[in-house]
Amino acid sequence: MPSALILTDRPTDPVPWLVAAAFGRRGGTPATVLDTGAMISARWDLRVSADGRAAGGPRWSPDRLDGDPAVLWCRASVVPAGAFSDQGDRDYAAAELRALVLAWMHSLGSRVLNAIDGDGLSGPSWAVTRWLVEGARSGLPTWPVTMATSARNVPGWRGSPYDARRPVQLQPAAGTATVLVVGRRGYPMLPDPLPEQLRRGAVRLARRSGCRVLEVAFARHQDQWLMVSADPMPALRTQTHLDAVAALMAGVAAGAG
Amino acid sequence: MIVLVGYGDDPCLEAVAHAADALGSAVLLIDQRQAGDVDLVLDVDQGSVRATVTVAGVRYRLDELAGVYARPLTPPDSADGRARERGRMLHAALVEWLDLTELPVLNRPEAMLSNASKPLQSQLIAQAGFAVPATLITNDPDAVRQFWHQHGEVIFKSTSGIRSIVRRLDADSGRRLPQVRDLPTQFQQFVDGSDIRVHVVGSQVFATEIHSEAVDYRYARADGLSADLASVELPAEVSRRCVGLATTLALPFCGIDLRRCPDGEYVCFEVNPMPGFSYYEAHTGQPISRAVCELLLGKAR
Repeated sequence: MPSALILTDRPTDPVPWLVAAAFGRRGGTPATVLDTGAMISARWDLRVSADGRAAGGPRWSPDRLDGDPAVLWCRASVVPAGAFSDQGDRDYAAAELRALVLAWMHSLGSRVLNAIDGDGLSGPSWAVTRWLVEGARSGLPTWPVTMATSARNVPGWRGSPYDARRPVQLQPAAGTATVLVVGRRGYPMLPDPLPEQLRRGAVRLARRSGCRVLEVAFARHQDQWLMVSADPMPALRTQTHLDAVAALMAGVAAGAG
Repeated sequence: MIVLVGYGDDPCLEAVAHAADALGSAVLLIDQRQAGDVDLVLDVDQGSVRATVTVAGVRYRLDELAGVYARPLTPPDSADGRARERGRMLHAALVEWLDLTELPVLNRPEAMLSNASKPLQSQLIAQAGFAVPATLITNDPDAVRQFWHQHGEVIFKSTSGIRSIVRRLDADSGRRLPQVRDLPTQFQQFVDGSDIRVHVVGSQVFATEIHSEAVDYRYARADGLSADLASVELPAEVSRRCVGLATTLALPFCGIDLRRCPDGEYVCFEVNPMPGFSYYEAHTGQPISRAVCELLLGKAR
Protein backbone atom coordinates (compact mmCIF):
# COMPACT_ATOMS: atom_id res chain seq x y z
CA MET A 1 0.00 0.00 0.00
CA PRO A 2 1.34 3.47 -0.77
CA SER A 3 2.85 5.33 2.16
CA ALA A 4 0.87 7.87 4.15
CA LEU A 5 2.20 10.57 6.45
CA ILE A 6 0.53 12.55 9.20
CA LEU A 7 2.47 15.51 10.58
CA THR A 8 1.66 16.87 14.02
CA ASP A 9 3.04 19.47 16.40
CA ARG A 10 0.91 18.36 19.37
CA PRO A 11 2.48 15.31 20.99
CA THR A 12 -0.51 14.79 23.30
CA ASP A 13 -3.10 14.88 20.51
CA PRO A 14 -4.29 11.28 19.99
CA VAL A 15 -6.03 11.97 16.66
CA PRO A 16 -3.02 11.38 14.37
CA TRP A 17 -2.36 7.97 15.89
CA LEU A 18 -6.03 7.01 15.87
CA VAL A 19 -6.35 7.96 12.19
CA ALA A 20 -3.12 6.11 11.42
CA ALA A 21 -4.54 3.02 13.08
CA ALA A 22 -7.79 3.36 11.13
CA PHE A 23 -5.77 3.73 7.93
CA GLY A 24 -3.81 0.61 8.77
CA ARG A 25 -6.97 -1.41 9.38
CA ARG A 26 -7.85 -0.84 5.73
CA GLY A 27 -5.01 -3.19 4.88
CA GLY A 28 -1.32 -2.70 4.22
CA THR A 29 1.12 -0.30 5.82
CA PRO A 30 -0.20 1.93 8.58
CA ALA A 31 0.26 5.66 8.14
CA THR A 32 3.42 7.14 9.64
CA VAL A 33 2.94 9.82 12.28
CA LEU A 34 5.79 12.28 12.69
CA ASP A 35 6.27 15.28 14.90
CA THR A 36 7.29 18.38 12.95
CA GLY A 37 10.48 18.27 14.98
CA ALA A 38 11.43 15.40 12.70
CA MET A 39 11.91 18.01 9.98
CA ILE A 40 15.06 19.09 11.78
CA SER A 41 16.54 15.60 11.97
CA ALA A 42 15.71 14.70 8.38
CA ARG A 43 18.26 14.63 5.61
CA TRP A 44 16.92 17.24 3.20
CA ASP A 45 17.43 17.17 -0.54
CA LEU A 46 14.81 19.25 -2.35
CA ARG A 47 15.61 20.27 -5.92
CA VAL A 48 13.85 22.61 -8.30
CA SER A 49 14.90 22.22 -11.91
CA ALA A 50 15.07 25.02 -14.47
CA ASP A 51 11.55 24.20 -15.64
CA GLY A 52 10.20 24.51 -12.09
CA ARG A 53 9.71 20.85 -11.35
CA ALA A 54 10.47 19.99 -7.76
CA ALA A 55 11.74 16.63 -6.59
CA GLY A 56 12.94 15.18 -3.32
CA GLY A 57 12.30 16.39 0.18
CA PRO A 58 13.00 15.14 3.70
CA ARG A 59 14.40 11.67 4.07
CA TRP A 60 14.58 9.49 7.12
CA SER A 61 15.44 5.83 7.47
CA PRO A 62 13.39 3.61 5.11
CA ASP A 63 11.65 1.94 8.03
CA ARG A 64 10.34 5.35 9.08
CA LEU A 65 9.12 6.60 5.71
CA ASP A 66 10.25 5.36 2.33
CA GLY A 67 10.47 8.26 -0.12
CA ASP A 68 7.73 10.85 -0.68
CA PRO A 69 4.34 10.04 0.86
CA ALA A 70 1.43 9.17 -1.39
CA VAL A 71 -0.77 11.27 0.91
CA LEU A 72 0.08 13.84 3.58
CA TRP A 73 -2.19 15.21 6.27
CA CYS A 74 -0.58 18.08 8.12
CA ARG A 75 -2.03 18.82 11.57
CA ALA A 76 0.58 21.37 12.50
CA SER A 77 1.04 25.10 12.62
CA VAL A 78 4.60 25.18 13.95
CA VAL A 79 7.91 23.93 12.57
CA PRO A 80 10.49 24.12 15.37
CA ALA A 81 13.81 25.79 14.77
CA GLY A 82 16.27 23.43 16.35
CA ALA A 83 18.99 24.01 18.92
CA PHE A 84 20.35 27.51 18.38
CA SER A 85 21.45 29.49 21.42
CA ASP A 86 20.74 32.91 19.94
CA GLN A 87 17.09 33.99 19.60
CA GLY A 88 17.82 35.71 16.32
CA ASP A 89 19.34 32.52 14.96
CA ARG A 90 16.35 30.49 16.18
CA ASP A 91 13.93 32.90 14.48
CA TYR A 92 15.90 32.77 11.24
CA ALA A 93 16.16 28.97 11.34
CA ALA A 94 12.43 28.61 12.03
CA ALA A 95 11.58 30.81 9.03
CA GLU A 96 14.02 28.93 6.79
CA LEU A 97 12.76 25.50 7.77
CA ARG A 98 9.13 26.56 7.44
CA ALA A 99 9.81 27.92 3.94
CA LEU A 100 11.46 24.65 3.00
CA VAL A 101 8.61 22.50 4.38
CA LEU A 102 6.06 24.64 2.51
CA ALA A 103 7.97 24.31 -0.75
CA TRP A 104 8.12 20.53 -0.30
CA MET A 105 4.41 20.32 0.52
CA HIS A 106 3.59 22.45 -2.53
CA SER A 107 5.58 20.04 -4.70
CA LEU A 108 3.38 17.18 -3.48
CA GLY A 109 0.34 18.88 -5.05
CA SER A 110 -2.98 17.16 -4.46
CA ARG A 111 -1.35 14.53 -2.24
CA VAL A 112 -1.63 17.08 0.59
CA LEU A 113 -5.12 16.91 2.10
CA ASN A 114 -5.57 20.64 2.77
CA ALA A 115 -4.12 23.09 0.25
CA ILE A 116 -1.38 25.24 1.73
CA ASP A 117 -0.61 28.88 1.15
CA GLY A 118 2.70 30.68 1.70
CA ASP A 119 2.25 30.55 5.45
CA GLY A 120 -0.34 27.96 6.46
CA LEU A 121 0.85 24.39 6.87
CA SER A 122 -2.55 22.82 7.58
CA GLY A 123 -4.72 24.92 5.29
CA PRO A 124 -5.15 28.59 4.41
CA SER A 125 -3.75 31.01 6.98
CA TRP A 126 -7.00 32.93 7.18
CA ALA A 127 -8.04 35.17 10.06
CA VAL A 128 -11.47 34.58 11.59
CA THR A 129 -12.90 37.52 9.60
CA ARG A 130 -11.85 35.89 6.33
CA TRP A 131 -13.33 32.55 7.33
CA LEU A 132 -16.62 34.28 8.11
CA VAL A 133 -16.67 36.25 4.86
CA GLU A 134 -15.95 33.07 2.89
CA GLY A 135 -18.61 31.33 4.96
CA ALA A 136 -21.12 34.01 3.95
CA ARG A 137 -20.07 33.59 0.32
CA SER A 138 -20.76 29.87 0.77
CA GLY A 139 -24.31 30.66 1.85
CA LEU A 140 -23.84 30.44 5.61
CA PRO A 141 -25.26 32.97 8.06
CA THR A 142 -22.34 34.31 10.09
CA TRP A 143 -21.65 35.90 13.45
CA PRO A 144 -20.57 39.56 13.24
CA VAL A 145 -17.02 40.56 14.19
CA THR A 146 -15.72 44.01 15.08
CA MET A 147 -12.13 45.12 15.48
CA ALA A 148 -11.47 48.65 16.77
CA THR A 149 -8.39 50.57 17.83
CA SER A 150 -10.53 52.44 20.39
CA ALA A 151 -13.36 50.69 22.20
CA ARG A 152 -15.35 53.91 22.52
CA ASN A 153 -15.94 53.88 18.73
CA VAL A 154 -17.87 50.61 18.89
CA PRO A 155 -21.64 51.29 19.12
CA GLY A 156 -23.03 50.10 22.44
CA TRP A 157 -19.65 49.82 24.13
CA ARG A 158 -19.61 50.71 27.83
CA GLY A 159 -16.51 50.89 29.97
CA SER A 160 -14.09 53.03 31.91
CA PRO A 161 -12.45 56.15 30.47
CA TYR A 162 -9.12 54.29 30.71
CA ASP A 163 -10.40 51.50 28.48
CA ALA A 164 -12.18 53.83 26.05
CA ARG A 165 -9.03 54.31 23.95
CA ARG A 166 -7.87 50.72 24.21
CA PRO A 167 -8.36 48.32 21.34
CA VAL A 168 -11.23 45.89 21.39
CA GLN A 169 -12.13 42.89 19.31
CA LEU A 170 -15.69 41.57 19.46
CA GLN A 171 -15.32 37.92 18.61
CA PRO A 172 -17.98 35.35 17.87
CA ALA A 173 -19.34 33.21 20.65
CA ALA A 174 -17.93 29.74 21.14
CA GLY A 175 -19.43 27.17 18.81
CA THR A 176 -21.93 24.70 20.25
CA ALA A 177 -22.69 22.71 17.11
CA THR A 178 -20.31 21.59 14.40
CA VAL A 179 -20.15 20.07 10.99
CA LEU A 180 -17.05 18.06 10.12
CA VAL A 181 -16.40 18.11 6.39
CA VAL A 182 -14.36 15.22 5.04
CA GLY A 183 -13.98 15.26 1.29
CA ARG A 184 -17.39 16.12 -0.15
CA ARG A 185 -19.42 14.99 2.84
CA GLY A 186 -20.50 16.83 5.94
CA TYR A 187 -20.75 14.92 9.22
CA PRO A 188 -22.87 16.66 11.85
CA MET A 189 -22.31 16.20 15.54
CA LEU A 190 -24.91 13.94 17.11
CA PRO A 191 -27.57 14.73 18.06
CA ASP A 192 -27.69 17.09 15.09
CA PRO A 193 -29.44 20.40 15.77
CA LEU A 194 -28.41 22.02 12.48
CA PRO A 195 -30.58 22.44 9.40
CA GLU A 196 -29.43 20.54 6.32
CA GLN A 197 -28.58 23.74 4.41
CA LEU A 198 -25.89 24.57 6.96
CA ARG A 199 -24.25 21.21 6.39
CA ARG A 200 -24.28 21.87 2.64
CA GLY A 201 -22.88 25.37 3.21
CA ALA A 202 -20.05 23.90 5.29
CA VAL A 203 -19.17 21.55 2.43
CA ARG A 204 -19.12 24.53 0.04
CA LEU A 205 -16.87 26.46 2.42
CA ALA A 206 -14.44 23.56 2.63
CA ARG A 207 -14.24 23.47 -1.16
CA ARG A 208 -13.71 27.26 -1.38
CA SER A 209 -10.89 27.08 1.13
CA GLY A 210 -9.16 24.12 -0.51
CA CYS A 211 -9.64 22.01 2.63
CA ARG A 212 -10.64 18.38 2.41
CA VAL A 213 -10.80 18.20 6.22
CA LEU A 214 -12.52 21.13 7.91
CA GLU A 215 -14.71 21.61 10.94
CA VAL A 216 -17.21 24.48 10.80
CA ALA A 217 -18.68 25.64 14.10
CA PHE A 218 -22.00 27.33 14.77
CA ALA A 219 -23.56 29.06 17.76
CA ARG A 220 -27.14 29.91 18.53
CA HIS A 221 -28.15 33.57 18.35
CA GLN A 222 -31.80 34.33 19.09
CA ASP A 223 -33.62 31.93 16.77
CA GLN A 224 -30.84 31.33 14.31
CA TRP A 225 -27.67 29.25 13.97
CA LEU A 226 -24.71 31.41 12.90
CA MET A 227 -21.27 30.28 11.76
CA VAL A 228 -18.61 31.34 14.25
CA SER A 229 -15.40 29.66 13.13
CA ALA A 230 -13.70 27.09 10.95
CA ASP A 231 -10.80 24.80 11.86
CA PRO A 232 -8.67 22.86 9.38
CA MET A 233 -7.16 20.88 12.29
CA PRO A 234 -10.31 19.61 13.95
CA ALA A 235 -10.62 17.24 16.84
CA LEU A 236 -12.14 14.01 15.50
CA ARG A 237 -14.51 12.89 18.21
CA THR A 238 -16.01 9.66 16.92
CA GLN A 239 -14.83 6.51 15.22
CA THR A 240 -16.99 7.48 12.25
CA HIS A 241 -14.96 10.67 11.85
CA LEU A 242 -11.64 8.85 12.25
CA ASP A 243 -12.65 6.24 9.69
CA ALA A 244 -13.84 8.95 7.29
CA VAL A 245 -10.49 10.71 7.32
CA ALA A 246 -8.64 7.41 6.99
CA ALA A 247 -10.82 6.53 3.99
CA LEU A 248 -10.15 9.95 2.44
CA MET A 249 -6.41 9.46 2.89
CA ALA A 250 -6.61 6.01 1.34
CA GLY A 251 -8.49 7.42 -1.62
CA VAL A 252 -5.94 10.18 -2.16
CA ALA A 253 -3.08 7.71 -1.82
CA ALA A 254 -4.67 5.48 -4.44
CA GLY A 255 -4.98 8.45 -6.78
CA ALA A 256 -8.72 8.71 -6.46
CA GLY A 257 -8.83 11.79 -4.21
CA MET B 1 -8.97 59.54 -3.06
CA ILE B 2 -6.18 57.00 -2.80
CA VAL B 3 -5.41 55.32 0.54
CA LEU B 4 -1.77 54.83 1.51
CA VAL B 5 -0.96 52.36 4.29
CA GLY B 6 2.40 51.98 6.00
CA TYR B 7 5.08 54.17 7.52
CA GLY B 8 4.61 57.82 6.62
CA ASP B 9 8.29 58.36 5.75
CA ASP B 10 8.45 55.38 3.38
CA PRO B 11 9.96 56.72 0.11
CA CYS B 12 7.61 54.58 -1.96
CA LEU B 13 4.51 55.95 -0.22
CA GLU B 14 5.89 59.45 -0.58
CA ALA B 15 6.49 58.92 -4.31
CA VAL B 16 2.91 57.73 -4.83
CA ALA B 17 1.57 60.63 -2.76
CA HIS B 18 3.44 63.10 -5.00
CA ALA B 19 2.20 61.37 -8.14
CA ALA B 20 -1.38 61.44 -6.87
CA ASP B 21 -1.08 65.15 -6.17
CA ALA B 22 0.21 65.71 -9.71
CA LEU B 23 -2.82 63.83 -11.03
CA GLY B 24 -5.14 65.96 -8.91
CA SER B 25 -6.13 63.13 -6.61
CA ALA B 26 -6.36 63.44 -2.86
CA VAL B 27 -4.52 61.00 -0.64
CA LEU B 28 -5.40 59.56 2.76
CA LEU B 29 -2.31 58.37 4.63
CA ILE B 30 -2.84 55.80 7.37
CA ASP B 31 0.53 56.10 9.09
CA GLN B 32 1.43 53.13 11.27
CA ARG B 33 3.93 55.34 13.07
CA GLN B 34 1.11 57.63 14.20
CA ALA B 35 -1.20 54.96 15.59
CA GLY B 36 -2.13 57.28 18.44
CA ASP B 37 -3.72 59.67 15.93
CA VAL B 38 -5.52 57.00 13.91
CA ASP B 39 -8.73 55.23 14.84
CA LEU B 40 -9.98 52.30 12.79
CA VAL B 41 -13.15 50.27 13.14
CA LEU B 42 -13.58 47.15 11.02
CA ASP B 43 -17.02 45.52 10.96
CA VAL B 44 -17.61 42.19 9.26
CA ASP B 45 -21.23 41.00 9.18
CA GLN B 46 -22.90 38.46 6.89
CA GLY B 47 -20.19 38.88 4.29
CA SER B 48 -20.36 42.67 4.35
CA VAL B 49 -17.06 44.41 5.18
CA ARG B 50 -17.11 47.96 6.45
CA ALA B 51 -14.13 49.97 7.63
CA THR B 52 -14.11 53.51 8.95
CA VAL B 53 -10.95 55.37 9.83
CA THR B 54 -10.48 58.65 11.64
CA VAL B 55 -7.26 60.49 10.86
CA ALA B 56 -6.50 63.89 12.38
CA GLY B 57 -10.11 64.17 13.49
CA VAL B 58 -11.62 63.49 10.06
CA ARG B 59 -13.68 60.35 9.54
CA TYR B 60 -13.62 58.35 6.29
CA ARG B 61 -15.56 55.34 5.03
CA LEU B 62 -12.68 53.42 3.47
CA ASP B 63 -14.83 51.41 1.07
CA GLU B 64 -16.00 54.67 -0.53
CA LEU B 65 -12.48 55.59 -1.62
CA ALA B 66 -10.74 54.72 -4.90
CA GLY B 67 -8.05 52.18 -4.01
CA VAL B 68 -5.21 51.29 -1.71
CA TYR B 69 -1.44 51.23 -2.03
CA ALA B 70 -0.26 49.25 0.99
CA ARG B 71 3.19 48.72 2.43
CA PRO B 72 2.25 47.54 5.93
CA LEU B 73 5.27 46.92 8.13
CA THR B 74 5.75 45.51 11.61
CA PRO B 75 4.14 47.86 14.13
CA PRO B 76 6.76 50.25 15.54
CA ASP B 77 8.04 49.36 18.98
CA SER B 78 7.20 51.54 21.94
CA ALA B 79 8.00 51.62 25.62
CA ASP B 80 4.36 52.56 26.22
CA GLY B 81 2.28 49.39 26.57
CA ARG B 82 -0.92 51.08 25.43
CA ALA B 83 0.76 52.50 22.33
CA ARG B 84 2.09 49.03 21.53
CA GLU B 85 -1.34 47.43 21.76
CA ARG B 86 -2.92 50.19 19.64
CA GLY B 87 -0.18 49.75 17.04
CA ARG B 88 -0.71 45.98 16.97
CA MET B 89 -4.49 46.31 16.61
CA LEU B 90 -4.14 48.93 13.88
CA HIS B 91 -1.79 46.63 11.98
CA ALA B 92 -3.97 43.54 12.48
CA ALA B 93 -7.20 45.27 11.47
CA LEU B 94 -5.58 46.89 8.43
CA VAL B 95 -4.10 43.62 7.21
CA GLU B 96 -7.46 41.84 7.57
CA TRP B 97 -9.28 44.69 5.81
CA LEU B 98 -6.76 44.67 2.95
CA ASP B 99 -7.55 41.02 2.29
CA LEU B 100 -11.33 41.52 2.57
CA THR B 101 -12.12 44.83 0.86
CA GLU B 102 -13.46 44.94 -2.66
CA LEU B 103 -11.40 48.05 -3.41
CA PRO B 104 -8.37 47.60 -5.68
CA VAL B 105 -5.39 46.86 -3.41
CA LEU B 106 -1.69 46.93 -4.31
CA ASN B 107 -1.10 44.32 -2.91
CA ARG B 108 -3.25 42.05 -0.77
CA PRO B 109 -1.31 40.51 2.14
CA GLU B 110 -2.50 37.01 1.27
CA ALA B 111 -1.03 37.28 -2.23
CA MET B 112 2.31 38.34 -0.80
CA LEU B 113 2.70 35.05 1.08
CA SER B 114 4.23 33.18 -1.87
CA ASN B 115 7.39 35.22 -1.37
CA ALA B 116 7.82 33.69 2.10
CA SER B 117 9.26 30.57 0.43
CA LYS B 118 11.57 31.12 -2.53
CA PRO B 119 11.52 27.51 -3.76
CA LEU B 120 7.72 27.50 -3.52
CA GLN B 121 7.58 30.71 -5.52
CA SER B 122 10.02 29.29 -8.09
CA GLN B 123 7.55 26.49 -8.81
CA LEU B 124 4.83 29.10 -9.44
CA ILE B 125 7.13 31.27 -11.55
CA ALA B 126 7.93 28.35 -13.83
CA GLN B 127 4.21 27.67 -14.31
CA ALA B 128 3.98 31.17 -15.81
CA GLY B 129 6.52 30.21 -18.47
CA PHE B 130 9.81 31.45 -17.04
CA ALA B 131 12.93 29.40 -16.55
CA VAL B 132 14.23 29.43 -12.99
CA PRO B 133 17.74 28.69 -11.69
CA ALA B 134 18.43 25.04 -10.88
CA THR B 135 18.10 24.90 -7.11
CA LEU B 136 19.11 22.58 -4.28
CA ILE B 137 18.06 23.01 -0.67
CA THR B 138 19.94 20.60 1.52
CA ASN B 139 21.70 19.97 4.81
CA ASP B 140 24.04 17.43 3.21
CA PRO B 141 27.51 18.83 2.42
CA ASP B 142 28.19 16.03 -0.07
CA ALA B 143 25.03 16.89 -1.99
CA VAL B 144 26.23 20.50 -2.19
CA ARG B 145 29.64 19.43 -3.48
CA GLN B 146 28.01 17.27 -6.12
CA PHE B 147 25.70 20.14 -7.16
CA TRP B 148 28.68 22.51 -7.25
CA HIS B 149 30.64 20.12 -9.42
CA GLN B 150 27.63 19.72 -11.76
CA HIS B 151 27.00 23.43 -12.25
CA GLY B 152 30.50 24.84 -11.93
CA GLU B 153 29.46 28.11 -10.35
CA VAL B 154 26.95 28.20 -7.50
CA ILE B 155 25.48 30.87 -5.23
CA PHE B 156 23.69 30.52 -1.91
CA LYS B 157 20.97 32.60 -0.25
CA SER B 158 18.06 32.38 2.17
CA THR B 159 15.16 30.03 1.51
CA SER B 160 12.55 32.20 3.21
CA GLY B 161 11.51 35.79 2.53
CA ILE B 162 14.08 37.06 5.01
CA ARG B 163 16.47 39.19 3.02
CA SER B 164 19.96 37.81 2.61
CA ILE B 165 22.98 38.81 0.57
CA VAL B 166 23.49 36.49 -2.37
CA ARG B 167 26.98 35.01 -2.14
CA ARG B 168 29.03 32.94 -4.50
CA LEU B 169 30.21 29.56 -3.21
CA ASP B 170 33.99 29.76 -3.26
CA ALA B 171 36.96 28.03 -1.62
CA ASP B 172 36.48 29.91 1.63
CA SER B 173 32.74 29.27 2.00
CA GLY B 174 33.28 25.76 0.62
CA ARG B 175 35.40 24.94 3.67
CA ARG B 176 32.38 25.82 5.84
CA LEU B 177 30.01 23.45 4.05
CA PRO B 178 29.77 21.07 7.03
CA GLN B 179 27.80 23.89 8.74
CA VAL B 180 24.83 23.20 6.47
CA ARG B 181 24.16 20.17 8.67
CA ASP B 182 22.79 22.68 11.22
CA LEU B 183 20.21 24.12 8.81
CA PRO B 184 19.22 23.29 5.22
CA THR B 185 20.51 26.02 2.92
CA GLN B 186 19.47 27.08 -0.58
CA PHE B 187 22.03 26.77 -3.36
CA GLN B 188 21.44 27.78 -6.97
CA GLN B 189 23.34 27.50 -10.20
CA PHE B 190 24.99 30.81 -11.02
CA VAL B 191 23.24 32.30 -14.04
CA ASP B 192 25.47 34.51 -16.12
CA GLY B 193 23.96 37.60 -17.69
CA SER B 194 22.54 41.04 -17.02
CA ASP B 195 20.20 41.86 -14.15
CA ILE B 196 16.83 43.21 -15.25
CA ARG B 197 14.33 44.43 -12.64
CA VAL B 198 10.84 44.61 -14.09
CA HIS B 199 8.11 46.54 -12.30
CA VAL B 200 4.67 45.41 -13.40
CA VAL B 201 1.80 47.78 -12.67
CA GLY B 202 -1.40 46.24 -13.99
CA SER B 203 -0.67 45.76 -17.69
CA GLN B 204 2.23 48.22 -17.77
CA VAL B 205 5.83 47.05 -17.67
CA PHE B 206 8.85 49.11 -16.60
CA ALA B 207 12.16 47.34 -17.14
CA THR B 208 15.49 48.46 -15.69
CA GLU B 209 18.86 46.99 -16.57
CA ILE B 210 21.45 47.02 -13.83
CA HIS B 211 25.14 46.99 -14.67
CA SER B 212 27.28 45.86 -11.78
CA GLU B 213 30.20 43.56 -11.06
CA ALA B 214 28.63 42.58 -7.73
CA VAL B 215 26.97 39.16 -7.34
CA ASP B 216 24.09 40.98 -5.58
CA TYR B 217 23.81 44.51 -7.01
CA ARG B 218 21.66 45.61 -4.06
CA TYR B 219 24.80 45.42 -1.92
CA ALA B 220 27.32 46.54 -4.54
CA ARG B 221 28.46 49.49 -2.47
CA ALA B 222 29.11 47.29 0.57
CA ASP B 223 31.40 45.23 -1.65
CA GLY B 224 33.20 48.34 -2.88
CA LEU B 225 31.49 48.14 -6.26
CA SER B 226 28.94 50.23 -8.12
CA ALA B 227 25.57 49.63 -9.81
CA ASP B 228 24.38 51.62 -12.81
CA LEU B 229 20.69 51.58 -13.74
CA ALA B 230 19.09 52.32 -17.10
CA SER B 231 15.67 51.85 -18.65
CA VAL B 232 15.52 49.03 -21.14
CA GLU B 233 12.94 47.68 -23.57
CA LEU B 234 11.97 44.05 -23.17
CA PRO B 235 10.95 41.77 -26.02
CA ALA B 236 7.16 41.86 -26.26
CA GLU B 237 6.85 38.20 -25.38
CA VAL B 238 8.88 38.63 -22.19
CA SER B 239 6.75 41.63 -21.19
CA ARG B 240 3.63 39.53 -21.72
CA ARG B 241 5.09 36.77 -19.56
CA CYS B 242 5.83 39.29 -16.81
CA VAL B 243 2.25 40.55 -16.81
CA GLY B 244 1.01 36.96 -16.86
CA LEU B 245 3.23 36.08 -13.91
CA ALA B 246 1.94 39.05 -11.91
CA THR B 247 -1.61 37.94 -12.67
CA THR B 248 -0.88 34.33 -11.72
CA LEU B 249 0.47 35.46 -8.35
CA ALA B 250 -2.40 37.98 -7.85
CA LEU B 251 0.19 40.75 -7.50
CA PRO B 252 -0.92 43.58 -9.81
CA PHE B 253 2.08 45.60 -8.64
CA CYS B 254 5.31 43.67 -8.25
CA GLY B 255 9.03 43.69 -8.91
CA ILE B 256 10.24 40.77 -11.00
CA ASP B 257 13.95 39.92 -10.90
CA LEU B 258 15.19 38.58 -14.23
CA ARG B 259 18.57 37.82 -15.67
CA ARG B 260 19.06 38.13 -19.42
CA CYS B 261 21.48 35.42 -20.44
CA PRO B 262 24.10 35.82 -23.17
CA ASP B 263 21.98 33.59 -25.44
CA GLY B 264 19.03 35.98 -25.07
CA GLU B 265 16.98 33.78 -22.74
CA TYR B 266 15.49 35.20 -19.56
CA VAL B 267 15.68 33.47 -16.18
CA CYS B 268 13.47 34.61 -13.30
CA PHE B 269 14.82 34.59 -9.75
CA GLU B 270 12.06 36.06 -7.68
CA VAL B 271 8.91 38.17 -7.59
CA ASN B 272 8.95 40.89 -4.95
CA PRO B 273 5.40 41.55 -3.73
CA MET B 274 6.23 44.87 -2.09
CA PRO B 275 8.89 46.33 -4.39
CA GLY B 276 11.01 49.25 -3.23
CA PHE B 277 10.46 50.82 -6.63
CA SER B 278 11.43 54.37 -5.68
CA TYR B 279 15.14 53.50 -6.01
CA TYR B 280 14.61 52.48 -9.64
CA GLU B 281 12.26 55.36 -10.43
CA ALA B 282 14.75 57.86 -9.04
CA HIS B 283 17.58 56.50 -11.21
CA THR B 284 15.62 56.03 -14.43
CA GLY B 285 12.76 58.52 -14.37
CA GLN B 286 10.28 55.73 -15.09
CA PRO B 287 6.76 56.92 -14.09
CA ILE B 288 6.07 53.92 -11.87
CA SER B 289 4.37 55.89 -9.10
CA ARG B 290 2.12 57.60 -11.67
CA ALA B 291 1.18 54.18 -13.07
CA VAL B 292 0.31 53.02 -9.54
CA CYS B 293 -2.00 56.00 -9.05
CA GLU B 294 -3.62 55.57 -12.44
CA LEU B 295 -4.27 51.90 -11.75
CA LEU B 296 -5.89 52.67 -8.40
CA LEU B 297 -7.96 55.51 -9.85
CA GLY B 298 -9.19 53.34 -12.69
CA LYS B 299 -7.31 55.39 -15.26
CA ALA B 300 -4.71 52.78 -16.21
CA ARG B 301 -3.54 52.87 -19.79
